[in-house]
Amino acid sequence: MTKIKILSEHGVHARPASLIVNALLKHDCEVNFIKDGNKYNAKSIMNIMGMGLKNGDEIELEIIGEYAETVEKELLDIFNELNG
Amino acid sequence: MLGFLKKKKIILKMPINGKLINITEVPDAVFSQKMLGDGFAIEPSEGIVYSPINGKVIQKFPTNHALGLETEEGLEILIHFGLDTVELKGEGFKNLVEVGDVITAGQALLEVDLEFLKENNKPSVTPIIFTNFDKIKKFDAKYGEIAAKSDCCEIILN
Repeated sequence: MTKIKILSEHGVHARPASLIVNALLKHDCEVNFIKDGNKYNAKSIMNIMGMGLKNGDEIELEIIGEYAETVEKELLDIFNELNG
Repeated sequence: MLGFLKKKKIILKMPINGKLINITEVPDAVFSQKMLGDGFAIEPSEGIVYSPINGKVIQKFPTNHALGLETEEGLEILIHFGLDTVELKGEGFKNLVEVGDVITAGQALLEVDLEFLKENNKPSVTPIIFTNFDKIKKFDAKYGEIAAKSDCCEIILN
């Protein structure tokens, strides 16, 4: 399973969450972020913000459905940009 | 629950003493362009947030500057106190509730030090966002100065 490390000073809050959700809503697949064994729906603003992701946190990515590779690449690009 | 018994209308109570403004007037594109969902915003005159609804707390954030609520009908409401307030790392905010708490309209949820926000150049304008907007058919907010706990917005659900 692909792992992502959060490397942005203020973690993942309103702005990053909106970028992630708005990108994912274009796709039909199910996307989950997994942290400490808990699964969060990555298409829900409230869920992502509620994860309280901080600088240095690591999450796992679960994508179920069609075009999983495309979606994963898109997500990794977003995180790279946020981490930049 | 049976569909025809479900409540279709929600009246929100004003969560903060202040002026209710259009979400498009918030000087931050993430809110004004409705990237998190539609809603309205409040220019607070006092630093206490009261629950606008009967429901429960579904999210609180480590930095305490935002709260996620859910009405009994399943509508999610995000109260994001101030802009860029995530950068204050919790200072100036005192959360009075926990995730899972059942809340009633008018109950105090969060205390905010408005002076501290000002000293740190963080705008206090507070977006109130319906994050699962697909549940809403339409909403009608009363713009202008409104006292906390008074009716401020009528929402018709799908």
